[in-house]
Amino acid sequence: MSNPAIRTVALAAAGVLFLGGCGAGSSTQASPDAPKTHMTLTLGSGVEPQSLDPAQSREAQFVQYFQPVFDTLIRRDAAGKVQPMLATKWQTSDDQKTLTFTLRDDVTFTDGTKLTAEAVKGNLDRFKAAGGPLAGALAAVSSVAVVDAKTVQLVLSKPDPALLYALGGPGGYIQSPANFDSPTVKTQPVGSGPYELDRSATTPGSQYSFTKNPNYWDKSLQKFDNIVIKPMKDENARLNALRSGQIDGMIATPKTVQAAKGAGVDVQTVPGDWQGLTLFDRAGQLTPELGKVEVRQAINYAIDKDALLKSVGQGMGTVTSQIFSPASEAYVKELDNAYGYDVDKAKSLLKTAGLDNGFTLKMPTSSDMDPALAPAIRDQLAKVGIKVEWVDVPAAQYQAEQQSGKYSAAFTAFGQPVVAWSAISGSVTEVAPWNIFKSSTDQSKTLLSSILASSSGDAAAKKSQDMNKYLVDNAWFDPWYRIDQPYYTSKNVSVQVQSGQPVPSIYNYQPAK
Amino acid sequence: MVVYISRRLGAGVVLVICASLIVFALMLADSDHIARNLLGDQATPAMVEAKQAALGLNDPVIVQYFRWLVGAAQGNLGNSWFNAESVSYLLLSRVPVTLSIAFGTVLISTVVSVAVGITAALYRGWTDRALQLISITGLVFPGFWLALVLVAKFSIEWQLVPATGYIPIAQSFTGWFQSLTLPVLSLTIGAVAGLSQQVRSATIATLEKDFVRTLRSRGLSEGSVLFKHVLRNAAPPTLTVVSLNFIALMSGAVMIERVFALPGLGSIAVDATGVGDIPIVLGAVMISVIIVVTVNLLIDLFNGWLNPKVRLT
Repeated sequence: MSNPAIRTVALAAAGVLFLGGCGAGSSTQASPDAPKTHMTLTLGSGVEPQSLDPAQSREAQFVQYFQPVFDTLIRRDAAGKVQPMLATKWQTSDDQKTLTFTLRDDVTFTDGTKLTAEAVKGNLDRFKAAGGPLAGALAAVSSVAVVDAKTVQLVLSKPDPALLYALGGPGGYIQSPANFDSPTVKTQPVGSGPYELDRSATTPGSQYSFTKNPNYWDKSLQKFDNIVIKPMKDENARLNALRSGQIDGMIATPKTVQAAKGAGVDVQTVPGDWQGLTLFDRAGQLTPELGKVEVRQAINYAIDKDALLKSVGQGMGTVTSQIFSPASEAYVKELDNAYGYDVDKAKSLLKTAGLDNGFTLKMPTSSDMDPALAPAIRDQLAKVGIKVEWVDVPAAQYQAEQQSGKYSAAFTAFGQPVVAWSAISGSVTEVAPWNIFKSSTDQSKTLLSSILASSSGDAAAKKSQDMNKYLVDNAWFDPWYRIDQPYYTSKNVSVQVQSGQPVPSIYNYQPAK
Repeated sequence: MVVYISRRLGAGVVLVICASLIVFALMLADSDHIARNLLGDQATPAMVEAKQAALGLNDPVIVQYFRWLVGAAQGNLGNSWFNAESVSYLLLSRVPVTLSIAFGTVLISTVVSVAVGITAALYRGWTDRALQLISITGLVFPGFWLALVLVAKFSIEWQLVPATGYIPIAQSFTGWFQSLTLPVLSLTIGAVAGLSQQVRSATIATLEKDFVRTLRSRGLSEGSVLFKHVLRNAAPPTLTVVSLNFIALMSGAVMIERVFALPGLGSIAVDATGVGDIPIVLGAVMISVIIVVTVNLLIDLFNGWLNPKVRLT
């Protein structure tokens, strides 16, 4: 091959095409999708809702998709305390079994339907009957009665200290009754909230757009013209979007905090999940050794919580031995240090239990867990003679496996609700979804009954603390630490974190001054 | 030709039925977690059981499969179990994203690879070695790593293109182009590395054939020899690699979709498989088979047009 013209053309083509390929973006200007004005709040979310039907809603990150459209019966403020919203006031009977709510009379759903007691009753009845993920939140409600157009009464089968909190979340989302049987109830929500879903600008998997409800009854809750929520499962993608000005807020993990701070992102934290082992099989049905309290206590002593917090939690959190949030009435500060790292003590307890040669504990693990976690737990428990057999399960099936009853213990990460009973009804009562083996003792039953029978908040708090001490003493769990849950925002907005929730409520954001 | 095309399309239908049946059986073999995943961790066993029944998961596998097949044959792929939307709507909204990435990557990588491969084959010597080195270096960098580096520079530091997201072409051509620039670039560099080597080898092999010497001895210009004869003969293996690249990109760009938060077919298929959203997985399988069959058919036809020796009868 010797034709210089051909060579020149080929070489030039190669060069131009290489440069063309590499420079495809270099001649362009800033994207129209890039920086937002402060009038639109754009959030990156780590989750996407399965449905926008309130009866199928969930807590935690999902609330941001529902709060723009739906007012709640009562509202949780940033501290997690309940405040008026659709209900201006409420009253609890002396026996704690009847709650009477007085409703606003100036609220209209975005389809023109007026808010009435009948609409609230319809929503609560529907939430209970629909079998959604949180239907259990209203399990204690035996009937809902319409007293008059603006008064609704809830009759409970037994006292439920977590009910008011539940009505400030998914259990209390109120949609237009005209939408109950609509074929689009899952995709086109109709509420009375500060914003409406703009279906034409919404693409599942990409973004959910909400526009201001022009007839909203409380303008102080409409701090932006529009809200856009973008589901972005990858944390790095969210951080890149935040740093390049595409979004204004995002949920994060401790792993990116240093990078975020280095990039000048505003970082706030809120007490997040407690992480550790849940020792499900407290009666020793599957693993007889776990039926002995000394063994469960030994597991608590055998884990070096400080080391785990440092290596897995990036040091962002607080070591603890209790499952309750410092914000809840059951919290007892001293219990954070109930079980320090003590290998000798753990060995001694195992010896007392007659397990000088240790035993084998089978637990599930998945790719979603921090890769450092499984080996660390295996090594630490091995030091006291407990052999951990990790069973690898697909990440998407991890939760189902945990709750399958096939394992006596598992690594768990649970939110720490502001109301103690929320944690108790989730993990401690006999019917709790996370009390897999229905653990119960005479003492636990007595304590649970005494909480429900308490006539005052102070008395209930005292009994909840007693319950907490019982759970720690009897090592129902092996909590290691509660993480500091990070939340990042751009300079365009300011936000107040929400106690008991990993992401702020929509009402907590406002344009930066 | 018509018979050939009909036969290929018929094979596609058989492929859809076989692939969907296999996928169905595999996913149902491990379906205990589906209802639990749908309802979340607060659901009681009774609620899980009720959901299981509502989804029809208690019916025999073959009954469930035929229920889906009859619906699919009528154009109804059902609704996602994990998302209230219809499967058709969810998947069809993602096809343009994936096709844009795949076409963009294949187009740019092919043009660049052909230019690089031909240059290397023609020049040989240091030019060849240098281009090979540069191309192979492209293989060293994983696409997702490259993507993160490109985002850091082009999106965050220089604010030239968006860091994440997809803008439909109907909404804004410029926005569409910008939203695809970095994902396509991230995938192109790796694709060029392999494809340019293929073009180079095929071109060198063809240049060494006797007919090329004969053509030159008859006084044909080098341009005519190269573009009319050598490239046509070197095309079949290259086109095969191009089609394989394209097919791999249909589902293999998941990491890139994640890094750029692009709502593509790959990520929805992976997510749906993980949680057990069978209607979505089956819909994705169907669309993938249709695209694979179509691309293979087009490549075969194009190959035949380029090179009469492989023309179909």
